[in-house]
Amino acid sequence: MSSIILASSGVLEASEGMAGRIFGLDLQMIVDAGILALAVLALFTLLSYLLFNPARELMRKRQEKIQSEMDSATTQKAEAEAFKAEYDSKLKGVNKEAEEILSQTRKKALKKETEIVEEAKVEATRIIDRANKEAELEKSKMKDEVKQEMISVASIMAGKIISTSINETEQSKLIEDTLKEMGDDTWQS
Amino acid sequence: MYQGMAAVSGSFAKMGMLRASQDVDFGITGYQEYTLFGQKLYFTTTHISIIIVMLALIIFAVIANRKIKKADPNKVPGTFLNIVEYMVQAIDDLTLTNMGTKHGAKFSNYIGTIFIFILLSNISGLFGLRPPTADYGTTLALALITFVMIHYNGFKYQKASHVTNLFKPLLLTPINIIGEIATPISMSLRLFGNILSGTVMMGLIYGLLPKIITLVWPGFLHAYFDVFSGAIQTYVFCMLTMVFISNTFEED
Repeated sequence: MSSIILASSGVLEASEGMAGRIFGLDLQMIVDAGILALAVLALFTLLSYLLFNPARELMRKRQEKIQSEMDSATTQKAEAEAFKAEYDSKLKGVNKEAEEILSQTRKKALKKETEIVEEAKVEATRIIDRANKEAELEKSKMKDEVKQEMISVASIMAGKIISTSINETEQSKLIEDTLKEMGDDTWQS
Repeated sequence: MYQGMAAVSGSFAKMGMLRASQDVDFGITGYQEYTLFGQKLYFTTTHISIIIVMLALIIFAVIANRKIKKADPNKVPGTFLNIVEYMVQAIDDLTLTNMGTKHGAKFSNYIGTIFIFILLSNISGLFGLRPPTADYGTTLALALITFVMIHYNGFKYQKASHVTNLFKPLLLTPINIIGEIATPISMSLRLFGNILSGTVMMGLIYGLLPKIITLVWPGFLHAYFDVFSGAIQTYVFCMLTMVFISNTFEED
């Protein structure tokens, strides 16, 4: 086995071209190590610049954005809840207020109604009373007028009749008698 | 051993069965020769794999970057963006959990980079590449970066006591020093050995078994060696890096 490693190592094969090299502690290895170290450093710079830093920056931005959105969502939710509570209490108050207003209005309306009805009744009785009084007045006025008329007519008639036969005293007595005979009922109706 | 393999595959060939691959190949091949410090060096399979893995990662990063630039944080992210964000979030969580919230964030980009790179390197065997982490040059470099980070942060946070701690207790000084030096070696060899073993096994399987068998059987082995073992080793490497570095934060 050791002969294979030696035979295939760079030291022995350098003179006849390199094939099947596995391990050799020689200049080739040192140069290879140097090349790879430079390559890794270059790769480190490139990957940092192209991949790691931008990706991290993007994730940081997204994280910040999500954080700010979550924060704003929390505050907005709190605000919304406060609003909701306020509106709820207001709504409850509104119902109460509305009921109060309604009941007050009903009471007022009822009161007004009774007042109006009372007034109307009073007015009606007053109108009826007045009408009655007027009718009464008219009746008595009529009574007097008719009485006067009848008196005048009777006296004219009696005058005409008696002017020829009796004097004035007899005439008046006659009229009175006549009126008494006729009675109140006769001319009042 | 090669003769043994040849004999086995030869006997399969005699039975009239075709082998999956013509030769057993799990080593690193040099494609282009160049000279540095008077030494012949090669542009190898590992380099090609590294280029492919890095290109895939960079293309992914560019696409992700475009999606992120276009994305509106006020809108719901799409599937791709979700995957990218989940990945970044998972890496951030991992570093913050292991290194603490105070210092962890600074390291998550580096840990993320090596995590993605090692993971994709380890599972690149699935796509027919030779895993770059099966080359000791790759794993040693990664472990040395970790080593440098450990001691940079050690001096930064513990100041002089980072050195004086090595001599406490005095009797254990040599062991402490060996322990410090062993850290990168053990980390690099652990990753290298695990991935190499998988690569060697898969190379042997494909090289020696008849093609008809390799259509079914290696699926399970790929799941184990490339995906399971690869993911575990990635996690272990990143975990050790984080633990070793965060040990230096304790200012005592």
